[in-house]
Amino acid sequence: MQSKYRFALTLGVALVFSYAAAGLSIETFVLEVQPKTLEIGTFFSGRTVNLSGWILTDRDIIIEIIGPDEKSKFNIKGKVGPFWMNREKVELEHAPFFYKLLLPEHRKYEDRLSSQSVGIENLKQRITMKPKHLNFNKVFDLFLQFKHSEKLYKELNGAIRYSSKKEGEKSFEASFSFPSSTAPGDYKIVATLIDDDGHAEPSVRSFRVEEVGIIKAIRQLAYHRALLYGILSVLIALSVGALIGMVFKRAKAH
Amino acid sequence: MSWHIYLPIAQHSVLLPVIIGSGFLVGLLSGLFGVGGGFLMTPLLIMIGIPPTVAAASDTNQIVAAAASGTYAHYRLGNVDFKMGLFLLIGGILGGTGGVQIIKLLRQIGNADFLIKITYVVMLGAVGGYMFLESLQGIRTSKRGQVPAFETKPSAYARLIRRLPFQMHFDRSGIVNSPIVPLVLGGFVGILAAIMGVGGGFIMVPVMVYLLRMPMHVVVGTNLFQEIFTCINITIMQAYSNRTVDFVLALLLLIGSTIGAQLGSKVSAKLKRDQLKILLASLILLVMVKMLIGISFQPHILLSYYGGD
Repeated sequence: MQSKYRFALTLGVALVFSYAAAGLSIETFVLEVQPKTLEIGTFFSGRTVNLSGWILTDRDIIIEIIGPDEKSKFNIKGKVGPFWMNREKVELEHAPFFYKLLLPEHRKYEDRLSSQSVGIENLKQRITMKPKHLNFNKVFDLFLQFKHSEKLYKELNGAIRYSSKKEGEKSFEASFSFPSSTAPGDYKIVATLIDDDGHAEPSVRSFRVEEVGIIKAIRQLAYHRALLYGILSVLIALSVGALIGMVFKRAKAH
Repeated sequence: MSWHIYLPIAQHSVLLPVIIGSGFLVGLLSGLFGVGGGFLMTPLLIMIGIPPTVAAASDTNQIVAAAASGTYAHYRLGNVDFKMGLFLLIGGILGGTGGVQIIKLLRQIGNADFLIKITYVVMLGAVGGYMFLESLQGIRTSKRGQVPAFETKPSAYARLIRRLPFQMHFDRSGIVNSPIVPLVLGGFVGILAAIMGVGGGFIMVPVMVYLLRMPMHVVVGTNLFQEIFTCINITIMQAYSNRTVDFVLALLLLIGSTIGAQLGSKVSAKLKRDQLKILLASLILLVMVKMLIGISFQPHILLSYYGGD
């Protein structure tokens, strides 16, 4: 009996050391996301999301927020005669709708982003384009310009701030914004822990952006019962117009 | 409290006072002059950041309400020629249906927003330019105390109209005409209305006065009558075919525009019309120039979402 317990203990210790040697750490990592989901309701005009947590003192953390592959078809404007109009249609596959990269306070990780498989340049490697005859680099530059103007893509240096420490751990805080044009869907928050040797350990958490309440009801009606939605739009317009007309007793032609 | 409101179809957040205020301003102007709210509203909405296809479709929705209340007011005064209005609206419904399909096709090709903008440039330029010159002439004529000359001989157009078949009498307007004319003209206006997101009044009123030869006191009421049904048809077709009607946007606009129109009609009796008309014409031309610049110079961002959204 005693030899069985001794064997189990030895095996356990050996497993712990082998995990540690392989770099699969059983380390402390706490990530809090506030709010837990993003609700697009009647008064939605964008929202700031706060991230916080604890990591080991000798680690750094990089956080990516990656949106779903939505709205990936685009028109490219070109000059036709005297006017600028849409000339080409392009589809970018595996291009997320939304991408934010939050980097810690000190700058050393800017140079190491490609080795960590993070960042917009790394995204570029994963994106494919249709049709293929277009110049991918030029199209990607236009795509980036568009996404920056819509506040949907950004690399934020110094966005992650470290503060209080307790034994062997330090806290971190970060925040980022979703603009009002955020598309609903399942987003990913990818937190990558990096040690001094450059070993990285990503951890993925899902983050839901969803329409709620009357906004959800209206969109569902508009897309799934379009004829009824059209008729209701007319009836409501007529009713409200009549009501306002009754308030002003002498209506003149509009 | 947030003053922003999220538009579910446009997927865009706007400031509530801006949207209601825009509706009020356009309603006020159209109440002052009797026509032309829609053709200012859509460009205003595009400038605020609403996608052009959603702006045009939602504007048509809000016109339904304004046209209905205006028609009722004119009906009580005996100023609606229902017979003429019926032919105009048959043409308008057919034209509007065709216009919606044109928009659908152009969204697939990728240039619906360009078509909307270029149509506005052309129509605003024509209407604004005509109004400006007419107002200027009106001011000069009233200063000199001149009386405009009357036509003494029937024009080639009038002779052509008399040769068309199925001539009938339109009692309320006091004219004789073939129904083919209002059917064709109504169809043309219906197409433009669908593309531009307007009721068509600013085109239909001159058409009725100069091409159908209707007296002015019947024109506005009859125009509003056919506008109700043309816009109802376009709203339903846009919602069904293109999913571009933002009912929340339409509701906010019509609250502002209906109040503005009521106020505008009260104020119009107290102001000098020709001078105000010249101001309105100048505003229309400014909007036209802004849109023309937008499509003539290289835009800051060369990429946009497919579908005009």
